[in-house]
Amino acid sequence: MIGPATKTSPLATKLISNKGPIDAEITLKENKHVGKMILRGSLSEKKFVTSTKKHLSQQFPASPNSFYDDNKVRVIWLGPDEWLILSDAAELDSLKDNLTRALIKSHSALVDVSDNSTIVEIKGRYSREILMKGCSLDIHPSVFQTGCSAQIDLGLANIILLKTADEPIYQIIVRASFASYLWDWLVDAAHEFKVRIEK
Amino acid sequence: MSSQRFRLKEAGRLDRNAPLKFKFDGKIYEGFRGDTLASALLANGVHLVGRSFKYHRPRGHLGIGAVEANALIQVGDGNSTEPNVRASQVEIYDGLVASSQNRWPSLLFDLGAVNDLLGGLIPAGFYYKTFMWPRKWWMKYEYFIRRAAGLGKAPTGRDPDRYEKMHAHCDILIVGAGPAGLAAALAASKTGARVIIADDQQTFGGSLNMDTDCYINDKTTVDWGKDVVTTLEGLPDVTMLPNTTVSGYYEQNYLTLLETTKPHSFKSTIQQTRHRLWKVRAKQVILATGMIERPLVFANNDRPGIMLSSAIREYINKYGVTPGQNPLIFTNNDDAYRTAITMRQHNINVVAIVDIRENPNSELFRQAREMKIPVHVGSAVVTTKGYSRIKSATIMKLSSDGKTLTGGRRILGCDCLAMSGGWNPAIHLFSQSGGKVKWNHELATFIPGGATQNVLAIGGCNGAADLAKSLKEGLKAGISAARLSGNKGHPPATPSVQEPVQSATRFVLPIPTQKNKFVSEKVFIDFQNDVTLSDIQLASREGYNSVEHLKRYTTVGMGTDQGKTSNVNALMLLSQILDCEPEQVGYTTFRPPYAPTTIGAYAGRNIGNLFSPVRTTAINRWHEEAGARFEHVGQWMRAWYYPKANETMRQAVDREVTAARTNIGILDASTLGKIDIQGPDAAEFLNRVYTNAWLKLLPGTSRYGLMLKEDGMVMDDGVTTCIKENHYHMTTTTGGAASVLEWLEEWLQTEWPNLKVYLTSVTEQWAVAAICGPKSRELLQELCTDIDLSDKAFPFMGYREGTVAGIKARIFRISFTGELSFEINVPRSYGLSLWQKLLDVGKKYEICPYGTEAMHVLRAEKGFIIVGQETDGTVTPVDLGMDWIISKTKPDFIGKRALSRKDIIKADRKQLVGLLTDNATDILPEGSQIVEEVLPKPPMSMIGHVTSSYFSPNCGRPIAMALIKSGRDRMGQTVYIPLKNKPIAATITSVNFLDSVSK
Repeated sequence: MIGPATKTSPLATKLISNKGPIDAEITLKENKHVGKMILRGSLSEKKFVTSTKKHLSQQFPASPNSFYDDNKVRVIWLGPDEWLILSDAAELDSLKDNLTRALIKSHSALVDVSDNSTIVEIKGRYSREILMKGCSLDIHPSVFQTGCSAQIDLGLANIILLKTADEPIYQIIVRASFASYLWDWLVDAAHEFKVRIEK
Repeated sequence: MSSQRFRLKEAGRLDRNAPLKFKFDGKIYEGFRGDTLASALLANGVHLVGRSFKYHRPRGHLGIGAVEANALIQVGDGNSTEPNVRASQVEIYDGLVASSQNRWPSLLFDLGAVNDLLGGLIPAGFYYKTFMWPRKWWMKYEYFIRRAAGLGKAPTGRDPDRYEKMHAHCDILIVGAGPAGLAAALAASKTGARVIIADDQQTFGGSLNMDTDCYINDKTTVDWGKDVVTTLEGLPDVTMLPNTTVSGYYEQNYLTLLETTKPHSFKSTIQQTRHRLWKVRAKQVILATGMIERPLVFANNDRPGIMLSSAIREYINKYGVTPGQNPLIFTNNDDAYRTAITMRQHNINVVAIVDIRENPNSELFRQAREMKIPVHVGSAVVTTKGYSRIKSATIMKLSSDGKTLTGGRRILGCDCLAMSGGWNPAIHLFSQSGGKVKWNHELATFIPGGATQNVLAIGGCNGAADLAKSLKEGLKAGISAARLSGNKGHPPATPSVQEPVQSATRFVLPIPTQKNKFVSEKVFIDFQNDVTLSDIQLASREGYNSVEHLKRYTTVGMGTDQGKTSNVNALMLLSQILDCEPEQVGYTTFRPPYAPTTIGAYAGRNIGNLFSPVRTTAINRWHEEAGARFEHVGQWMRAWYYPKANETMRQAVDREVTAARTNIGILDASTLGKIDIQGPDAAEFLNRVYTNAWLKLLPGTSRYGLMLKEDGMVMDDGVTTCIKENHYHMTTTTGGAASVLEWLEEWLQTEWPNLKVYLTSVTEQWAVAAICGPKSRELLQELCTDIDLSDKAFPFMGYREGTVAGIKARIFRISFTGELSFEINVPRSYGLSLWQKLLDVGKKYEICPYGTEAMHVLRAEKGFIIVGQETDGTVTPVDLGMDWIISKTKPDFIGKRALSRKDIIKADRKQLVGLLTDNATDILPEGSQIVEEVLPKPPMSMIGHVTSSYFSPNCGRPIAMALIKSGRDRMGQTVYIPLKNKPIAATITSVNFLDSVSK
């Protein structure tokens, strides 16, 4: 009688099917169910740094307000002792377990926050213009370059903004309960452009 | 329909192949694409467009662009109508509807004009002096005064137009796209700098579009301007904003710009953006705002047809329209000769030039003479005639000191008068930026002095009267601002300029009036606020000698116009009266906005469903489909109750409350704040932030805690669970989630940096279904096979991890209802799936979803508090009767010291008690005041108030909680709740209703 449990993403009701022209100026989609965890720890603790480099990524840590991709994970700097790690959902548990074991002796914390937020991707030639309607940060490509991240408000929602490529593509990490507002905000802000929504 | 009688055959940058029809005061007129409402009305010979503010005198077009003080128009109809729009800033379109303002019953016959005859009775300060007594009547007076003084009318309904905001950053923001601004943009852009250039006109170029007698690099000024615009348009990092008024200049080079994104189109079905409010952060700002022509101050200088000379030249050269066929020119400088010559070149019969100067001597003067334009030197216009439009002007000779009139009168017929009284730099934004202004003797005006931000004033704004200087300053400023903002480059070559050389100005202020008149004639200083010369003199006689007092007493420089054409004349007059230098008189402070800004632009898109984010849980879709009614809890939208067909709220809530105590209820508790706490000092940390003891909490168990502020008042509450050693899961109230996390982080980072604790918000990581009621264990048993759910193995306040409906879950055996209850946490993405499974399987147990209202009733039946309902920031745990939760043995916790303060331990503080109404059908309104004794009317001394009140189906009667002075000492006493209709009597009881009240 009980079927298997199913996952529902925060924007499931907004994304019933593909919509909008192929030659869209703006494309919006949700990167559903990406594995995420928060890593806390002190860079002054040698053991923490070496373990993290070994089990997470050689490039660890990241410079302030930036992120990098390495070894199938994305490491986003959130604060001097806080990082957000993104990975394939399927691989998150083993990554977390390995890291937890390696960090057992150092004061640190690893928390699975995969469902705490979701990721919205906006791409297309007018992406920056749309973000400029609700984000007070200077996101000109000469300033907010590929690999830059920021914790900022977009409209009335707090987000983490990532510039993921040299082309006008941005990823927006938004808390799950704000996702619906943010989506409506983006669609509204894009009203004068040809918009495509990808399921 | 009127023909465009005053349209010139040539000239103007209009699309003459695109005629457009519009309506003004009910009459249809024709104009061309590219016309403003002002230019199109002028083309049709319409000068009378409004009535003045106080005297209701007929008024026409005075200036052009933002400078217009008179021609304020109501544009559009219905809810998108906008009042007080300058006719010179409305681009016309087919079907535009506009009307004049401040007149009744019609523009030509306005009853309010009686004020003009009574003018002597209503001088400056009239309202302040007259309507002082009796004091109480002010509210009545005000109503009529406001009606009489109204400018336009605001719409009453919802604004159907769309407004947006835009955030931008740049190296250089250039304000004004005249010669100086364009030169600056050209120089700056060549360095690769990020440039924004804004101009309030539709077409870039400013004075380039009207100075047809000048040449730059042997090109016409218009062509040179077009070339620069073309160059700039090709650059990706140059943003060009026509139709954009820079309206505010704030700290740290933060400026606001109002862009009109297209000609006003008031068709409400099309949701096109009408205005865009730009918020710009600029490393450098260049102000190239140009100059504003100054009116001459003479009797009856406000009649329709009397206009600023430069505005007339602009109407001719930009719009191919002449404001008159028989114009008279009145000037104190050479520039107005250019207007006369331009008009003559278009075969317009220039009646004469009246020049205040005794010996004008310049190429322009000779040129005018050669064109056979009569010039009356050393003369002045002393008065004018004409009601709805000027018909004639009287001219007389001026004495050599300019203070008296000599010789005979001469009356010249005319249909338009071009006046030029010199030039004022548009220093408004410079002043807003915090810059100081200084007096310039040669120009007899204020120019920018010392700057306090990264700003440069150039060209006309800096007092440069000629084109060559403006261009030179522009190029220099462009390159220096580019370098200061980190770009490299060299200035382009300075272009060669041909322009007429101008000689000196003679300032005579005011023009003397004729003495032999029965009625003194009005000499206007401020056209928009109807401030006259005699008002300024009166104000000074009455002691208002400071500029700030003068402004407030006479209203000079107020209104939508903010003194663009009047301020300098008023200040010069004041300085003459006080016999000092204008510099000593000083200048009133300019405040944003430079020009009126639509309120909608400030709201932007934060309206309707985007007004505030609506936060929803993973289970929201199910609640919606189940027909739940919702309530807002902070930004969250929570299911309030689930009415079945025809059920009232009370019936639905009663059913839900009963089910939760007899079968199973299920609540979406996902919104509770959740914080993951890890680290070797986590227990010590909890021990300090909660009032009770936390050091010995074992893994797999939970504890309820209260958090206090330093002042001992309850701040938040919740259950915290030890997941495993050094790892805790804290819950907070829904509303307190963010503030509690910030509070805890602050203590960790600033007070206890030595504690090894990390906090992570996991509020949204978990979806929570709380099942409650005697059959909840049976239900959970069916879906969860890997946990022993027996009371012994999984006792109250226990915590277990396992699998529920195939989903990895965290289960807390805690209860906010007093019933057997399990709170099942699963990752948010599985929340909906878990909920549906619990309901499917729960069917046979008659599971009943309940909302927040039932939750409130259930907890109140047991006397459990809700922080924010029973507490309001002034309530201690002792007040709540929760002494048991305050550790007596801990060395310290936040708020501990405050709890021993004298005021906190006194006996007559308000204490939480239960209230049972004597009549078992009365439900007390929450928030009601409580008294010991009912008097016939207030005031009565109040001893407390009702904090929570419900009908309790499980008690079979209403129950209420209240904070009452010395409440615990009053058990069994009767108190009264004086409501409007009748007082209600109630008895003070314990708060645990379920156990104390028998059904």
